[in-house]
Amino acid sequence: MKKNIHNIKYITTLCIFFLLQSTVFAQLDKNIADYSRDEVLELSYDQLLELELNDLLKLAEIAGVSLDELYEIVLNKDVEIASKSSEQIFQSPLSTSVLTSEEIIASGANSIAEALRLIPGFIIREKTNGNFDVQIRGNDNIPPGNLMLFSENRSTLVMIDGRLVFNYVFGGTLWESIPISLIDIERIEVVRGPAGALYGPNAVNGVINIITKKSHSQKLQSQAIVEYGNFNSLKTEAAISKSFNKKINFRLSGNYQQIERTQTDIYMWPLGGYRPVSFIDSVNPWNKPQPIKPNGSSVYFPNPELALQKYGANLSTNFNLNKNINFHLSANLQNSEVISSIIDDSFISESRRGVSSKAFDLTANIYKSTTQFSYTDGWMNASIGSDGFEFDYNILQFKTEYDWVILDKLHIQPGFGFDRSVYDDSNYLSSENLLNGEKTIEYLSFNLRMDYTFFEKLRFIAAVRAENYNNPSDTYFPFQFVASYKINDKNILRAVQSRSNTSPFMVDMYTNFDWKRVPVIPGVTSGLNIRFDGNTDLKLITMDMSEIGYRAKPFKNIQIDIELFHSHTKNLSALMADSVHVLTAANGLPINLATGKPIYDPITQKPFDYIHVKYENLDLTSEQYGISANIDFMFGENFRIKLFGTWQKTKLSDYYALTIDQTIGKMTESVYAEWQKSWQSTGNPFNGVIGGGVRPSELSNIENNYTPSFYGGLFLIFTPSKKLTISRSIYFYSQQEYVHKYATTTIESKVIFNMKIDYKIHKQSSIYFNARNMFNDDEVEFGFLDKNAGKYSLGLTLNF
Amino acid sequence: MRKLKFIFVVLFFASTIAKAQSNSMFKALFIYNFTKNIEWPDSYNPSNFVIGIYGNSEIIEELNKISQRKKANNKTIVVEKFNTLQTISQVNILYIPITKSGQIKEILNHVKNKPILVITESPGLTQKGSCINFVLVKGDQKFEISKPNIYNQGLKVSDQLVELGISM
Repeated sequence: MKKNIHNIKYITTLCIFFLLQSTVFAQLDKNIADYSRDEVLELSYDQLLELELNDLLKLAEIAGVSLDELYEIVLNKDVEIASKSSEQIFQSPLSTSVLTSEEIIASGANSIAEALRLIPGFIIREKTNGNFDVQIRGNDNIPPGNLMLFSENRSTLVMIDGRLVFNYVFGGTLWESIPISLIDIERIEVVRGPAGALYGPNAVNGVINIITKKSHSQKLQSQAIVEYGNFNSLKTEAAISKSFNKKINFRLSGNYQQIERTQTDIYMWPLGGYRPVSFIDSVNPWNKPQPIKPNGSSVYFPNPELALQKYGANLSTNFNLNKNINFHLSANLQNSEVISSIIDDSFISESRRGVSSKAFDLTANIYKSTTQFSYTDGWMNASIGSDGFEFDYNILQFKTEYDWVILDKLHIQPGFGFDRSVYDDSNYLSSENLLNGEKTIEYLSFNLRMDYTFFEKLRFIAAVRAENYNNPSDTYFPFQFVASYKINDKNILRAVQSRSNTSPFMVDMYTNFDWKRVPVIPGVTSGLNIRFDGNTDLKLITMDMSEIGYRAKPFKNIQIDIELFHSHTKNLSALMADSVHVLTAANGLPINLATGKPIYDPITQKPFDYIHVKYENLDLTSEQYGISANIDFMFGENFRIKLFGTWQKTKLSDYYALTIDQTIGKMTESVYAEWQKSWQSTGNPFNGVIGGGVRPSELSNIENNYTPSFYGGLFLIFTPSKKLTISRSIYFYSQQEYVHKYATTTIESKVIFNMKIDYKIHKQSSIYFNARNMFNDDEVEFGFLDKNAGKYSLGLTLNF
Repeated sequence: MRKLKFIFVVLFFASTIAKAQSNSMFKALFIYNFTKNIEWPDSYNPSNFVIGIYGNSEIIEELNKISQRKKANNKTIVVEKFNTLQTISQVNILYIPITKSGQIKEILNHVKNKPILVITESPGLTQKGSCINFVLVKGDQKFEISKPNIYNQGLKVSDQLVELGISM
């Protein structure tokens, strides 16, 4: 009995001991909220395993996120643009970059175009305050010595959530006409190099897809940003969003932006310098001369100080029926006016451009299919004050694709699309018009992409697309073949061979323009001095590219991306002199019978009656090779630096070096020689119109010095405390030479320094100081346009 | 001076390692707690409670520590690493590290109609079908939870767990 009692005592003591032990393990010695981070990290597994999930969440908050995870999230972001499905950027088969909302906001960039300076491979020049020319890898100003239009980027496709925002009348994107602003952007994804097999025409130098924010919170969330600075710059953005029943969410946003120019003068080529706008009105030889306005303003430029003024409003909604079926619907409207580079053949370098549009976009993801329908209806005047460049337009886009996955490793993605853009100047007809009616560019496309991965290491992608246009009649077949090999988790190699083409553009295909430089005199002059014609047989600009890429993660906090590329571009086109027609009188001189004086062209100083110019394909080809490197580095959670640069060369073969005007001069001489020969042989001067003219045929090989041979940047974000964020960015390019048809200028090499300091006043608001081009480097960035200047502003951000 | 520099470097890396471990540790602890709040169908009855990890992850080590100390649903916890998608079969939980998040479509296709709780750690994956997704909200470790996605996998979830997470 005694022994039993002893045993019971022993067992009880043991039980109490173990009970106490476990209590010690389970219990924490103080309130969870009072734990420091170090104390949390010292807690044992046994203690933690006894805690409720609720308490664990609180302790995890105190412990914070791991650096490894932070490195992975920041450096190796998810991206969809290269494969049309989500993958980490390290594994992306193409030259790909992502810029997140946080990076854009931290950088202080004032527009989408300026934000792209943070991405490798971009050549970005500020034309006038707030207006930018955006190029991927260059191939710009081809051919040199032609219209300013050919120095603009016409071969990069820009999309908002897959909806095209493209200017089909001249090619390229009018950045001011994008309805969304930085507050709306979730991230910007970019592919460098041809991607037409995935996205269709104009994805020649690259593709930019701007992905907008969607609401995931059931709480009404709102954000507002106001920024004011020198040049009377004002930027206001606001957005509200909410999710209902987890199935429907909406987002409503609006933006307004304005900034004045750094100067009010505009460059006049005939005078070789900048002149006040009032002077331009009075001496304009090619437009209707206007009386000088006493206050120094102008008919063409009533407000010459204004560089940019725009507003936009956006509504988007998602309806998630279930995980297999969801719809995204967005509606946007915008209105903009800028003074920026001119697109037509004028004697001044800048024009006032207005765009107003409304767009609607519906995307349906149903199981493995994605169908998108979008429609844009708008108005634009590319040169307000001048006749002939005002249009109504609409752009319709439909595409549907299916992602068929076989055995988890093979993706087969067939697709079909129909695109139509209509530009119409019927409502704005004057004596001179670019199109003289409604013109349409439309095409059908079929595409197929196959993506197969062997043993999770070796990946092959083949994508082809067939595009059939109303004009030109040829069918185009952009393609893309990719092989990538994952050496291990830290190194990946890839090779790309791809081809892409532009779409036709209205100006190239359908120009139907009579430039009446001499008044109509019945029986004497036709009044038709220069006839511009489009060419529906033009072959579309096509680029072939070979690329080798290498990505490495030598350490968890460093990601390196290297691209070697070579491209060959053909079917380049330009406005070319076709024939010269001379009116001859009995005395053997071209003469205006009304005045009794010979008719002289003010530019060529040659007598003429009329000249025919038209858009033509050139023998010219462009060959480009280069290397880009990008190093993304994080040091701890508070310091990030991104360094990138591109070195490249562009060679032009079979370049026709004479400008249109020089060609007209030569052709006029040949017409005269022909006429003199005829006079001598017949004994009578021919009285009437003779025409034709032999165009010189000398071709040469040159370097295209307009694309800078070296450009890149640096982006640094430093967060010394939870309240303070300091960002610095540098963008640089080497010297360039811009050759316009009337003059040549050197764009000096430039290093632009930017800085933003953001201080969080409390959880919901912050104030910031923003300096763009902080050392006030005033060098012109885009030939013959405005001087640059430092821009300094103060801003306030509110989040509720 | 050199000593000081050395100490600074050691302290920096020591704090880095400690942080890395803490994060994986908490995720592993969360996963253990999820097992108490998720109900697998009786018909799905592997002899052990298997937590599968697709590819490399520091969480494997942390889950192994838990498996030595605890059981889940009265079964021994077995932590199994899978290098290829095809080899993933009878698991209760499938953890997709961030490095594999790009394959989410293929992974979900592979586990379709199987009572497997899919846990991920990359933004936006609950919208793509993940059941539970670890996310950072203003630097704090949280988890998104999708009740419909969990049901679609043939599992049941307690309301308590849904309330603790960010319901999607």
